[in-house]
Amino acid sequence: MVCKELIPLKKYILQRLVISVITLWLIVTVCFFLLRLLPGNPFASTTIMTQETLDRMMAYYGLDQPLWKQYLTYMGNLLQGNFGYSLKYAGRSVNYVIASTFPVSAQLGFQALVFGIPVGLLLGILAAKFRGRAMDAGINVFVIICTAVPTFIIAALLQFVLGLKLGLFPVAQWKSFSYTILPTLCLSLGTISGYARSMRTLMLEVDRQDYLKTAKAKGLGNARIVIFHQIRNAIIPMITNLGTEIAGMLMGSYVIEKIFSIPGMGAYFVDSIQGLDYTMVMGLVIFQAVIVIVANFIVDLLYGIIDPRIRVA
Amino acid sequence: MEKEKQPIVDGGIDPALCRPVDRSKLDTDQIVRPSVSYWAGVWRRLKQDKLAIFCALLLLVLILLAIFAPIFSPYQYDQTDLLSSNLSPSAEHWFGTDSAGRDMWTRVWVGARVSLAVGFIGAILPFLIGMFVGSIAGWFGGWIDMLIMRIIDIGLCIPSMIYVILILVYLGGGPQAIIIALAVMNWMGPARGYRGRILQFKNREFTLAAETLGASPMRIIYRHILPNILGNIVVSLTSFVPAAIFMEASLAFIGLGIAPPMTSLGQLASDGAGMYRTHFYQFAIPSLVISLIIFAFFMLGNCMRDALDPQLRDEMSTSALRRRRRQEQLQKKQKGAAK
Amino acid sequence: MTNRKKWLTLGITVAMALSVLSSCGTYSDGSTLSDSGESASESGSSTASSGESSEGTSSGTGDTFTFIATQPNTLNMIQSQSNLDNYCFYLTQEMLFRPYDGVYTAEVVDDWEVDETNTVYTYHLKETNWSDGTPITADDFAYYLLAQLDPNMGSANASTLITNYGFLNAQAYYNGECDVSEVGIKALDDYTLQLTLEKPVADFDGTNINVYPLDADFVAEQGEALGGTPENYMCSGPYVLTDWTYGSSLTYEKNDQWLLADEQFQVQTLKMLEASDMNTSVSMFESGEVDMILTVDNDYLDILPEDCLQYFPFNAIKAVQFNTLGQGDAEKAALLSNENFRYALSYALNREAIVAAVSPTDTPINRYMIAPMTGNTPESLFEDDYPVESVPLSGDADQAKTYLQAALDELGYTSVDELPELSYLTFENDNYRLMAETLVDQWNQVLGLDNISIELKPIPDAIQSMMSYQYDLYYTSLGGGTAPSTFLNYWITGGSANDVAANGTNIFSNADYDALVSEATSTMDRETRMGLYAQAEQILIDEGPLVMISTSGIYSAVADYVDGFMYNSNDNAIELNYLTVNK
Repeated sequence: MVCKELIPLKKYILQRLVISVITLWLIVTVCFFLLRLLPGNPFASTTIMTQETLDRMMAYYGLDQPLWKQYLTYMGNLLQGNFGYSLKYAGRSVNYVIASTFPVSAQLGFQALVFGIPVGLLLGILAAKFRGRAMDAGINVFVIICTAVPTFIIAALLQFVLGLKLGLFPVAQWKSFSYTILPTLCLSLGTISGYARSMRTLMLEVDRQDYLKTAKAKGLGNARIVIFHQIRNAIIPMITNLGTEIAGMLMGSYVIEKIFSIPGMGAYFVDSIQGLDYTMVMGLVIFQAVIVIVANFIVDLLYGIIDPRIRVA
Repeated sequence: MEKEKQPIVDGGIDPALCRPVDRSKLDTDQIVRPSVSYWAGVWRRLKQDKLAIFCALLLLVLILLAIFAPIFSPYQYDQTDLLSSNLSPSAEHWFGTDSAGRDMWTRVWVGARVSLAVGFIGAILPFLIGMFVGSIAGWFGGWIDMLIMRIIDIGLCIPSMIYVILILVYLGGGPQAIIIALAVMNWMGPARGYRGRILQFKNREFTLAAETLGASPMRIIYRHILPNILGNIVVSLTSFVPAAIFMEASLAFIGLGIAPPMTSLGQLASDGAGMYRTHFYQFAIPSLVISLIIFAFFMLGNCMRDALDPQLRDEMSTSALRRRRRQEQLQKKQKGAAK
Repeated sequence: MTNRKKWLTLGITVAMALSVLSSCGTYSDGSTLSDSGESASESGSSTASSGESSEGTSSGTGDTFTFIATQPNTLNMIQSQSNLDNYCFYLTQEMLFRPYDGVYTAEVVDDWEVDETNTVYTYHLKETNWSDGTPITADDFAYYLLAQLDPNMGSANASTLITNYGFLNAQAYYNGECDVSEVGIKALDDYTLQLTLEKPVADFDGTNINVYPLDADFVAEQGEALGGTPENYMCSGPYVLTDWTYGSSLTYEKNDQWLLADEQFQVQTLKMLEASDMNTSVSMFESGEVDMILTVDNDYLDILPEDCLQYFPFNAIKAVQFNTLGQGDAEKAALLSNENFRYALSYALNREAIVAAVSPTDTPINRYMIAPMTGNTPESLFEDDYPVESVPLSGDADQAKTYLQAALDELGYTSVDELPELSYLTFENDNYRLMAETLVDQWNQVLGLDNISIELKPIPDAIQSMMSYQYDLYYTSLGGGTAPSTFLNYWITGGSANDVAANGTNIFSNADYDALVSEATSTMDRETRMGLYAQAEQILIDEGPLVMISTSGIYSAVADYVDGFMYNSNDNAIELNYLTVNK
C-alpha cells in the first residue's frame, strides 16, 4: 500500500513543482505589467514638484527605461532573491519589510486560525447535532452577529469595552501576548462564523448519506458515527479553500492592523498599491504567491489522504 | 344513522359495503393530483416556515423603503444645509443630519439602494460565473481543469485591489463599475469550491448511472448534481450577498467607494465609524440597516437551504422538526392534563 | 490507514503549537532594555495585571515622553520629501541654526558674517561629534545641501533650494552643466562653511535655513539602504534613534554628547507610536498610555477635554484651482479664465459656515498672506499691516448671482444650463470628498450650477492628472512658507504651481505681478519689500486662478502633566526643546 502510493506521489510532487514555478512566473509577469497600467506617477506627492523633478526621479529609479528592459532587470534581481527597495520609502528594502512584518501578521493569523477553526467546527457540529433546539438557535444568533456586523465595528466596540472601559486587555500596540488577544479574537470571529455555518450545513448533508445509514445500521455508537463518518466527510469539501484561506490569514488584515496599531503586512498591501510603490507591491505579491502555492500544495496532499476517492491526478 | 346499527363482522368491514371497481371506466393514466415539481415543493415548504416569511417580509420592507423613502422625503440626498450640521434625530430629520447638514434618512435609503443592488448583483454575478467555470473544470478534468485552476491560482495571488482600481479607472466609479469589480474579484472562490463539489459527486452511483444512460454532461450537472448541492450553494450565496455589501464598504473604507455625490450604506457606515463617540447615530443607523439586510438574507438563506434540499423532505426540515416537537409537547401536556 | 491519519493529525497539531510558540519573538516593545528574557517577563506580568501594566510601560518617572504621530517615510535626507521625515531629523541631528517657534538660533554656528553684497555668507562652526564620537566637519554640512542638488541623487528638493536661496551655479550643477566645485556651497576648512548666492535674497537673513550634517562616505557606503533603519542612519543631535519598528514605533534616547545637552531636550526617552485609527489614539490617550497626540481629527475635538487641546496653525492654503487652459477646449478655457465666473463661485461660498461644518480644524480665509506671517516688523502681522479687498468670509449670494450673470453675458450664454460640463478633481479621501460634495452642492444651491461633477482619484493619479492639466477644477493645498515670497513665487510665470509641467504652460500669467514679486525678492528694505508683496497679493486675489477656501491648522492633545510642548509647521518640527513631563 505504501509503495503503491509513494511512487506516483514522488512524480506528482515533481510535476507540481514544475507547475508551481511556471505559475509563479506567470503571476510575476502579469502583475508586473498590470501594475504599470495603473495611472499615476509613483513619485507624485502633495509637496509641490515640477514635471522635471518627477522625470529625474523616474530616471534615478530606472523607470524611464522601456518596459521590457525594466522587466528583465527586475527578473534578474528577483532570481538573486532581491526584491529591491521601496520607491515610496527610500532606504526600506522590500526584503526587510517582509522579514519584519510577516512574522507579526503570521502570528496573528495563526492564532486566529488555531483558535477559530476548532471553535467554528465545534459550534457547527453542536448546531447540527442539536438541530432546531435552543443550542442551535443560540449558535445561529452568534453566527449572525459575527456575519452581520462589520469587523471594524466589532473591533472598535471590543476595544472600547474590553480595552478601555474594563481594562482587561491593552487597547492597541504589539508588545506581548496579552496585546494579541483582542486582535486575535476579532480576526477569528469571521473564521468561527464561516466554519460554524458551513460545518452545520455539511453535517446535515452528510447525515443522510448512505454510508451513514450503513454505519447506523451496523449499530455503531453515536459518538463513533459522528466522529469517524460524519465529521470526516463533512470536513472534506471545506479543505478546498483552506490553502488560500490560510495564506490570506497569514498575510494580515488591513482593518485589524489599523485599528490595533499592529506592525503587520496588511497595511503595506493597501498603501503600496494606492501609492504605486511598484517594487513593494511586486515583492508582497510574490511572497504571498509562494505562500499560497505551498499552502495549496499541502492541502491537496491532505485532500488525497483524507478522502481516498479523490486521488491526486 | 342506519350505518350505526349494522353489525360488525370480519374485522369491521361489511362485505355489503364493498363493490368491485368497474375497470372499464377507470383511466389508469389519469393524474389525480398535480405532480409536485421540485420548485413547487420548495415553495410549499418555504411558505410553511414562519421565520422565512418574517425575513422575506423584513427584506421586502427594507427594499420598499429603499425605493420609496427618498422619493417621498422633502430633502435631497445631496442637499447640504450648513446651518443644520450634525443634528441628532428629530421629527424634522428622522435619522438626523451629517456634518454637511444632509438629511440622513434620505441618504441612508439612497445608500441602501446602492448597497442592495451591489449586494444582489455583485453576489450573484460572480457566483454564476464561478459555478459555470468550476463545473467545467470539475467535470471535464484533464488539461481544461489544469488550465482553469492555474488561471485561478494566478488570479487569487494578484491583489484584487489592482484590478479594482483598474476597473474603476476605466469604467468610472458608478455602481456598475463596482459590481463588475466585485465579479472580477470574487468568481474564483466559488469556482474552486464548486469544482471540489463536482469532483465529490462525479463518481457517485447516480451520476455514473446517468452517464451510462447517455445524459449530456450539462444535464447531469444541472439535473443530478446541482439539486444535491443546491442547499450548500444557497447558503454560500446568501453569505455572498452580505459579503458583497461589505466588500463595497471596505472599498469605500480605503477610498475606492462609489463616486460622489452618490453614497452607499458601507460608505455611510465607514464615514460614521470615525465619529461613533461623538455622533453615535451617524454610525449606528447605517450599521443597523446593513446588519438588518444581512440578517434577513442570512436567515432566509438558512430557511431556503432547508426548503431546497431534495433529500431533506418535509419530515426532516428544521421547521417541520420544530412543529413536530411542539405537537409532541402539546400531546404530552394534554395527556398530563387528562391524567 | 487510521493510524497514519492519527499521526498526521498529531503532527499538524504539534506543528501549529510550535509555530505559535516560536513566533513569540515578534513583539515590538521598542524598549531599550534587554531582549529575550525581558520580553518574556513582561509578557508574564502584563497578562497578570494588564490593566496597570499598560500604564506602567509608558512613563513611570517622567523620563519618558510617549506620543502618537505619523512615522517618517524615510531617513534618507537626500530623498526625503515629507515633513514627517523632518520631525525625525530635527530630533536626531545637529543644525547650523535650530528654529524654535519660528525663531532661528545658532547651534553649531559659533559666529558668522555676510559680505557687503549680501551674497557671501561665511559660517564659523563649533567642534561637534556624531553620536559615535567621530567629528563633524563643515564638509558634512556642505554635503547635505550639495547632495540634494546632485543630478544623480534623485532628490526632489533641488528646485525648492534653488528657488528659495539661489546658490551660485546651483541650477547649472543640477542641470549637469558644471562641476560640484563651482557651486556656491563650500567648506573652506574643517570648521568654516561658505554659502554664495547668485544675487541677494531678501527673505534669507543668513539664519533661516535648515542645514543638517550628512557624511558623504557614509552615504556612498550605504547606497540604496541609506535611511531605511536606525543602522543605516547616523545621528548627531539631541537624540539617538535606537529603534524603528515600521508601522508601530520609534524610540529615541537622549544623546549626552550633543552640544546643548544640558540646556534643552531634558526628557530622557522619546517614544513615538503610530496609531492610524483615531479611535485607538484617543483611547490610548484616555487610558494614559500616551502623553500626546500630535493631530486630533475633526470628529474627536468634542470628546477630549478642552484644556488638553492645543491649536497650532499649519501654513498650507487650501483653494480651488481653475485650469484656465480648459484642457484644450476653447469654450471651457473661456469660462474657466473668466474673472466674473470665478468671482461668482467665490462669492457663492459662505466660507465660515462651510469650514465650521465640514472642516472645523481649519480657518476660513479670503487672502493668502495670513497670520502668523509677519509684516513690516518681525513683531507685526502682515495681515494687519496690509489689508486687502476680497470676498467677505461669509460670502454674498446676491453679489455671486450678479457676477454669474455678468459672466454669462460676456460669454454669450442665456442660462446656466448651457454651460459646459466641468469636473472637479480631488483626492480619494474622506475629508476631500466631503469638501467636494459640499462645495459643489453650495454652487448648485446658490447659483443653480449643476454642471460640475466630482472626480475622485488616488493621490499619485490625481497629481499626475493635475500636472498634465487634465482637470477643470482642482482642490489644491499649497504650503505657505514663512515668507510671502514662498507662496507668491508659485504663481509667477514659470512658477512651480503655475507651470507644473515646466514647459512654459502657465495657467496664470501677469507681467505686473511677475515684476512686483521679482523686485520684492531682491529688495533688502523690509518695509518696501512687504509693500511690494502686498501689491502682488492683491493682483493674485483679483486675477489669480484660485478660489481660496481655508488654511489648515492642527489640534494636538497634550496631557495636563506635560509642559512646554511646541509644534511649528513653518519649522517643520515637533519642538520638544523645553518639554517636561511632570507625572
